[in-house]
Amino acid sequence: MRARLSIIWVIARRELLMRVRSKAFLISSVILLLAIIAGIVIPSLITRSTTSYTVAVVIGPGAPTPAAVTALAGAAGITVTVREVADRGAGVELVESGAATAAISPGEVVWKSAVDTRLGPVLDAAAAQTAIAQRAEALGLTPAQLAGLFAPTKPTATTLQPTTDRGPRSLVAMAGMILLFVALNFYGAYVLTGVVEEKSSRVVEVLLARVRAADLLAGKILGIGLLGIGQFFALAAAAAVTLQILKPANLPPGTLPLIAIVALWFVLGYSFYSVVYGALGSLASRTEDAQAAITPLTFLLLLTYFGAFSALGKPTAWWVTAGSLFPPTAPMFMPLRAGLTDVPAWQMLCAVVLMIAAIVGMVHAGGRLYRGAVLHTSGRLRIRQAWHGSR
Amino acid sequence: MLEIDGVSKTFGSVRALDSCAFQAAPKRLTGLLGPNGAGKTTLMRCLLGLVEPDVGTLRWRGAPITEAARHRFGYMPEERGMYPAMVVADQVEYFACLSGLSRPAARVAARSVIGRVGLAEQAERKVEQLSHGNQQRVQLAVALVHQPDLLVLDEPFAGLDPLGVDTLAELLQYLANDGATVLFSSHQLDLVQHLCEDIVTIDRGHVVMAGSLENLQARTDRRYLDIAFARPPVDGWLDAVPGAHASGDERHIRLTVGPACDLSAVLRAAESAGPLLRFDYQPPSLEEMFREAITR
Repeated sequence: MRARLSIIWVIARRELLMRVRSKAFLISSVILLLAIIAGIVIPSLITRSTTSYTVAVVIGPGAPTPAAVTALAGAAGITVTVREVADRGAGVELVESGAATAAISPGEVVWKSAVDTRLGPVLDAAAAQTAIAQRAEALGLTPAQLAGLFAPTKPTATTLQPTTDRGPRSLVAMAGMILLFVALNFYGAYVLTGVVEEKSSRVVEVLLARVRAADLLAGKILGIGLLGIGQFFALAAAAAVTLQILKPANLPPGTLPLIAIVALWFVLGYSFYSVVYGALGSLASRTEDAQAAITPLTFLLLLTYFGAFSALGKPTAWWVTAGSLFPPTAPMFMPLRAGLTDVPAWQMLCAVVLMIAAIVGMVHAGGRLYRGAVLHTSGRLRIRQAWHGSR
Repeated sequence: MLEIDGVSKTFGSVRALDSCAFQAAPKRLTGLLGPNGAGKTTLMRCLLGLVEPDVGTLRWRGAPITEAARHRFGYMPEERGMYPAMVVADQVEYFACLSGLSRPAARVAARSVIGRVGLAEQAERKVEQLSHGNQQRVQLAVALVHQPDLLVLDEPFAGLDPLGVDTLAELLQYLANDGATVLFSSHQLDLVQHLCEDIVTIDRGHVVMAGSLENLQARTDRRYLDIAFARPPVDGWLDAVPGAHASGDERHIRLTVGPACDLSAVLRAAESAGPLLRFDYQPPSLEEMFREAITR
């Protein structure tokens, strides 16, 4: 047993190193990495630019003070830089040239083409506050009384049926589901091409004269799986570091366990599907036939993916529960359910046990197909032929 | 000693091996002959565990062949196969590891076998950059790297230039002298005759001729006498040799005679017919025996 494990490791090590050292892998990894960092940085730069404005304030009686404008802006969560101007004409000029988003003068706010949805209410409130203060002063109220009148009050918020905020968690679940779909296809394709290449270069006969077919498949899957997990964590770490630098986020409670669940189902899902990829790939003799050989699998994965997407709408439906327990669909349905609802522990455990049983079954069935088909180097084999193959 | 006994294998409606039985001894080169489709490759695949025979036993050193025993087998399939993008040294080392060698031991073994097949200067190149002949050498290095006790080579000489043939022949001889059992298939019968001590010929999955070359030749009931005269011999000189069958031109005559033929009588008759340049008595060549065996 130990000898077999060490052989499997020798095979896995080669699969891993050959790919890590290949230029194609390095280039695609770097592109992926840059894409992820850009995907985080660019939107945050865009949203950040829309939260800070320059406003021209006409100084004079009846106009809001710069201090009032910035204070109101701060309360609304935007940053406003005030440029004081002497008259309306100067303010209009700044707006025309684009140096200021808006100009505020007594009783008027000047915009270039349209009212900004975030800045508009702030300037309206500033204008209203100034007008009210003027009227109150006319009624004879002292500034102290005025301050008392405007003292902020905040009512107590009472929720009758409190629910925890699942927004961020469902986002993690959905991102996890999409990642799983992409990863299963991506690394599955690695297993597929690896199997077909060994077959078409005929090296497989030299290999099988030394190692068992099952060990060869296991080593290949292990090596590519480690590569996948390594790449996944490298990319996730890059994303986390970028996020942390841009705006330190406080993760909502329950996010980390959810990430762990997504990772667990990646490992389980990959173990299951990579065996299917390897077994079906062994039916093809040439790269051109490989896609045709895995058509049923591509179909199943797509169906699962779209099923999981419709499950986003009603995560408590009976078919979502069933899908999260049924091994082939569980890797995508279960993380989604875990993000959107509270999955009973027994169901989660059940799904994992079923999945492991399915993996064991698939390793046996897929291993048999692989063994029967892999030495057949001419044309495409049918599943039944491979099942009753040469051994 | 490798023993194959009553091995049969059927693929669909094709009977690839039919009660195949023979032996191959250590320290000897055994040539496996047979027309295309005779079952040579299937037989070799059975030995390596790539194909499971329907019936029959395969024994190595007196015991049924196990996976552990196969770790000490070296195999070069007819369809050569390697990882094209892998460096020669890494490739040979990798296959040594798959045969159970530790990585340091595999590295040492790989370096030594690469030198032995004459590829030391190409060790750091990718296999796909090598010429066909050199790729074949890599394939051989892969088969030899773990110093196997049994070498099974499917058409190892195919596609080699005369120098490559000589190198490989020397290497196989060396390995056999070193104690290995070497079984290889070939269609180059003159080469097999020159190299091998033992011959196995199979046809339609069945062994039709097996044994040491010497015994096989001794067992045949035909001999050839090649006689060359300096000038055309006197007509009718052959009448003195009963049962002889003559062919050839005027001066070069090949006589086919039985094993009981009195050679000195033939020599006397020939000498009296004219001056001789050559008088050569020989058993049939392997090629002749082969043709006879598979058309029987």
